Amino acid sequence: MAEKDNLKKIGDLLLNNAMYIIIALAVVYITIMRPSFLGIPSIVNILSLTAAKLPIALGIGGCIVLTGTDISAGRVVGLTACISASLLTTVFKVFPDMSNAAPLPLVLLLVIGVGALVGFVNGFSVAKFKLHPFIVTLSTQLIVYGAILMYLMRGVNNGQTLSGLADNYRSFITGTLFSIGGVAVPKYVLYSLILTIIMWIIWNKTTFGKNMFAVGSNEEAANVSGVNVMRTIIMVFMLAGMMYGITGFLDGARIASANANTGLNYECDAIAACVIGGVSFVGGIGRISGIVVGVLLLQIIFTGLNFLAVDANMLYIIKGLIILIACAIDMRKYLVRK
Amino acid sequence: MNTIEQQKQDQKNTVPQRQLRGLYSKVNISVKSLNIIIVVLAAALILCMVVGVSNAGFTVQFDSLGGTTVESQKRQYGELLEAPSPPTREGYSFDGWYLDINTTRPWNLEKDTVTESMTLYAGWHIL
Repeated sequence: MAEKDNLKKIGDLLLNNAMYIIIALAVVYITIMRPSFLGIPSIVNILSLTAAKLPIALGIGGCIVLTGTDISAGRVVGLTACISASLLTTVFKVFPDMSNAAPLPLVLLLVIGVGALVGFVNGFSVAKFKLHPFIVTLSTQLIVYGAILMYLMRGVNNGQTLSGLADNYRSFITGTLFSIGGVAVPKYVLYSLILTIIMWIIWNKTTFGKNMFAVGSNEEAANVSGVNVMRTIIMVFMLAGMMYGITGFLDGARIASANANTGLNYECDAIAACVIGGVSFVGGIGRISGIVVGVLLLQIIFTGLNFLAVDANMLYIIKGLIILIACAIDMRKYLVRK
Repeated sequence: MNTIEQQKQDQKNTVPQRQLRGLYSKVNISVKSLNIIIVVLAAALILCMVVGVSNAGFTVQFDSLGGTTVESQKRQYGELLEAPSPPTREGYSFDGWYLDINTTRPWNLEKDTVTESMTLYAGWHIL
């Protein structure tokens, strides 16, 4: 009997951690085939890309805790990246009347505001009309995409990619924070770290954070115990929107250009990272540390597969399978928990 | 008689499964089926990775933009491209390969290494 129990325990352990085991095996294989994968340039590259994708995942995490989702995220990143790139540039194609780049803090506040506005529309529709977040954010996704395309047609730009960014904008984000072994770590890693700390405090130390988890695990119970459900939902979506705005601001300078395809499918990666990191679609379950781990693991596996020169088309199939497995494990963990 | 008692016993032994909530609230699935699904999907994932790795290589295509055709090359991560014989085009002289069709970002055949599948575009000068 004891032996059977042990076997069951091992089986549980293997199944609940199937994703981590596969990723660990893949990393071992990649390292054997391409030892430079564990070199400093590659590790710095993985960390920087993780930092770049972290804010959007931190935002979407809140929506998932509310048993929702947000598929407008990527397009909001695209719009805010285009706004940043059009204002902080040396060639003013979208606004031909401008001659000097706008001040950095002003643009940052502007894109955070734009993100918050889209988030407000999402949150308000979800909270007030009890619409499913999927439907609401699908429509805002399309509306925002339309806005991006129209924005890029403004002035003399004619829908082209925005580039020629202002030096102070680029150096503020991609400038060297410090160097390890001659490899520069960009400044946005620090910004991402600060955002993570802020989100950790919001989730764990504020009434709003506690209300968010309460609404996520049981909306009616939260309502009965005096939580303002509507305000909580709207604030979670607005906070997420602000995160997308910041991601867009960082991404414009990080990629050194912005166009209609910037931010495409970012929400898929972010949602996958959250689910891998244990933010459950069951609702009311999730930790900031989990999101960080999720984003990092996804980045490790995809950088690794790129190292092995796996075709980009195959990566989409692998990503889809990873999301399915993560969901199955997520359900299983909830069902077996006593 | 015996079987009815057994059935009652069985009913007592089977603890009712927790009901899934949230986005999964409509899902009705047992842990056993989930185990099978996880194993099958994990196998599929590993298979995809194996197929991906065995067909590894990034395809680099050359768009000569009206010049003579240049064959595409398959390269592993971090490798240099083999310098293709330069294309020709009547009335123009060839001035190298570029990453974008507007020929603003040149590709250095001796230094730049391949990190993804891509298309390089020929740069032309009017003679």
